[in-house]
Amino acid sequence: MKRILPVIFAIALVLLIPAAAFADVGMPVEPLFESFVITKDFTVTYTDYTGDYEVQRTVTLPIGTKLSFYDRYQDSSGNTVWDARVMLYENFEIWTSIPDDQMRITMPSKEVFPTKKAPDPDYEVVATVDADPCLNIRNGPSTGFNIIGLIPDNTVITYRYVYDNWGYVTYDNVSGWVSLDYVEINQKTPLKASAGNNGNNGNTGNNTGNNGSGNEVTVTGSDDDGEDNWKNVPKTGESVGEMFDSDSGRLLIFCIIGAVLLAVVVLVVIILIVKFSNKRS
Amino acid sequence: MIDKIPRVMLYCLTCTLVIECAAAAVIGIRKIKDFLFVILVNVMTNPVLVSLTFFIRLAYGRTAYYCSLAALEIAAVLIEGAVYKFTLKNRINPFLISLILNTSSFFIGELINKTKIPGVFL
Repeated sequence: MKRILPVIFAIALVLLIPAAAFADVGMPVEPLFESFVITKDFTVTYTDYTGDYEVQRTVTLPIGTKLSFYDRYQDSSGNTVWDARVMLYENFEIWTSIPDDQMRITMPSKEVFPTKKAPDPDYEVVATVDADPCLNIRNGPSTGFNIIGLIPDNTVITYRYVYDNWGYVTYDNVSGWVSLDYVEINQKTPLKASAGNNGNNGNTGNNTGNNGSGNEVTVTGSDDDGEDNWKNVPKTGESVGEMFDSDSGRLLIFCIIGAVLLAVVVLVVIILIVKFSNKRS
Repeated sequence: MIDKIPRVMLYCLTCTLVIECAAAAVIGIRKIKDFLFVILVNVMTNPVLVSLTFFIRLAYGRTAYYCSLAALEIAAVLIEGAVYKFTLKNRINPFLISLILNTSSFFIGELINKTKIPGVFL
């Protein structure tokens, strides 16, 4: 029995790890990296399950889109990919696989999407609802999503983001998606002017600059704190940097170093206890 | 989750200590001093194992993670067994004690991990 017992436990331990790996095919409960905000143009594909059929869609993620990375693994083709949950818009998330070579994650450096800056929404649209008696607000851009609010007929609404002929609106403190089949457009206001600012970084006053496409824009504002608050305004076509939360890799390195140091200290403590015990006995 | 890594490490260490002390009691360890060594040995090995496997999962992916987990678990069994050999005054083979304790904590830990209760576990 004394000889069999170690063998049984050794086999159990060796079998447990592949069993755990086999059981780990689902999505982890906690993301490895979360709430990353895209600062550059990035295109992903995902499967849309909201209709009658599963449809593969491609979407360019706008700036400000939130991503959470859940796992990194090799897919059936042998390519290394990241499972990511993308907050496409408020109340609308998708799951996608992002190939490893499209993003760079090294420890403890920063994480970067190596693509150029995406354009902001082109227009702000003012429209009138044409749906009797009212238009549904849904929590996603499809009839497969739940209704979270109603807009009465003939109400004037404003939207900027459009996805698959659905517009993202806020009405009566409810933000969600409405079908643009049931609205009549009154006015389209170009938004491009807000992207440019090559002027001086004054604390108070007017900044006049050029956004690179020949349209002169004027930004007026005041700044009481004396900080250079204009410096983060991106210019059209300019690379605007990395996702934030880039210190996470560094934190992990610190934890590994801390754990090793702790192990050394504990080992010294154990040796001292054993020596002290031997002396006493 | 990576931002919560210190919390994850603390959680793993606490679970391991509770499970291994219980398993040690089951296999016949009775002295307080022996329990102290079980605790110290796990404080020595567990944070290193958890943080290293976490790093490997992020840097090299899921397959590398499980390979490294197997290697590091075996290393932990051997290191803990070696320490128990000089510390525990028990009739059972120290490496067998280490193997039993680590197997039980790994198995029960995986069970806890697969049956997470929101708000209670991480």
